[in-house]
Amino acid sequence: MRPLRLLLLLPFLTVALAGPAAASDGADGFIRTLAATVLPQLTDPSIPIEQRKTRFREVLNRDFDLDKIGKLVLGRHWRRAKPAKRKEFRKLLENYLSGLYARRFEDLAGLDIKVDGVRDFEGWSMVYTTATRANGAPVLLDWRVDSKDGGYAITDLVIEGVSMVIAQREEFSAIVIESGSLDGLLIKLRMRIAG
Amino acid sequence: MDTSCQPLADERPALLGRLRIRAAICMVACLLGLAAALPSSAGEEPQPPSFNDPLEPLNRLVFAINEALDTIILRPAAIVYGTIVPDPVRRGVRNVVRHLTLPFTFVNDVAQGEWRRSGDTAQRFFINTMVGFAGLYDVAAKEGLPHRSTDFGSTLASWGVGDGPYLVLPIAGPSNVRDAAGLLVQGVADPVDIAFRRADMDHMPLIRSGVATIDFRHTNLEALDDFKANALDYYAFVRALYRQRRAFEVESSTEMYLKGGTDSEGEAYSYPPPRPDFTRGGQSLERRPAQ
Repeated sequence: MRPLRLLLLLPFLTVALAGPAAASDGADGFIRTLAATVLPQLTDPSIPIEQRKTRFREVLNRDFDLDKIGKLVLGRHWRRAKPAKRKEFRKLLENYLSGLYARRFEDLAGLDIKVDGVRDFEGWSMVYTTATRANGAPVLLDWRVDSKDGGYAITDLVIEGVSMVIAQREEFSAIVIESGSLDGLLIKLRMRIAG
Repeated sequence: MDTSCQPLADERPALLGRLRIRAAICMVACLLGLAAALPSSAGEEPQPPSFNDPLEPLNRLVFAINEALDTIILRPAAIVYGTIVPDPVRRGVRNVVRHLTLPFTFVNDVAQGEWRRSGDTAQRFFINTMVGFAGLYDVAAKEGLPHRSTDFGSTLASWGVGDGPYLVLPIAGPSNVRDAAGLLVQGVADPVDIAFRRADMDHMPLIRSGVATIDFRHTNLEALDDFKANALDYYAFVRALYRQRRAFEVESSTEMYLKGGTDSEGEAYSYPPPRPDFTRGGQSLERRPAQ
């Protein structure tokens, strides 16, 4: 089994790019641009943690489709939730993820991402890449890219065959089932964000 | 008539007796696995949403015990290992541990009908045994034969056995009925362990898996600490990770098209789609529409 360390990235391997990539570049162009221009800004070891969090939040809202991710990770609990609860969950998810991943980017400076190929599905593409750290084993890192506002947005990361959306969905679902309602999950998320 | 005489077969070697017991356990486990993997009878109501974890309360208990053992024994041992053993030595240890898995990998390659792969495995074993000082140096990887692993759980999968309910095994950790059966078979059928036992080195199989475990724990120290600290429900997170990871390993080791499964909501899915093998054919960029 390869080192699990890169799994730490979960959904956030991207970062601040100036506007969505042009549609003509294709989904692989979008990922290439992100890896070349945005990733270094996020992994720069000299920036303070608060600034890193702010940058992530920007990237999350621009280069990821948080609405879709929220829907995917909640599954049927999303369909049953009232609009106010959905909105609350969406906000908590954003806070939870930006807090969680800011720290994880600190020791990823010099991460190299090479595009292996791309497959187009109906309405979305899978961009297959290999990520290599300075002295680590290569890790298979695949990006699910959907179209959003005429450009592209990331909706899932598959790290060594593990879909982060599916992993998160199972974890969240276990909490909803255990506590009996979506509120149980919202409480847990709020507690975690508060530290 | 004297009926107190000893049974005739009392001289059966102890090892054979032990093996028979283990074989019996393993057969039961295999049958359990097969039964679990068989589709339920037609006309039945669809199962309610589940994680395919009917033993969840028991699993959570075993998981908690494993976590406690990890905290007080395995994790400290992994930290000490990383501190006192220099990096080149650790690399050598990892190479030897991997090298010793190759004979059983070869058996599985053959059982899965992976002829080309079984040839690669055999070649790798001979190169590293002869030139790599009994596996201490990974010469074969530099010759284009990187380490690949497979196991009997994957072999069962290639024969069409489904994974069955999730299981947390004492000490061994996350598993499922099929992979647990695979582990039991490995316990009796690994050629290297059999050779060790024949040579009266009965403790070696245990030492070998102990070293492999500490090495794995050390390699993943950061990641596992982080997961444990940040997961909202660590048990559920590990369960999701294990299931997907195994599906991926089984798929890539048997080159079987992953048809998907049932997700935590009880809905069928075929996501993520199988990853194309970009190492073959040399194509750097492939585009093809979805089926």
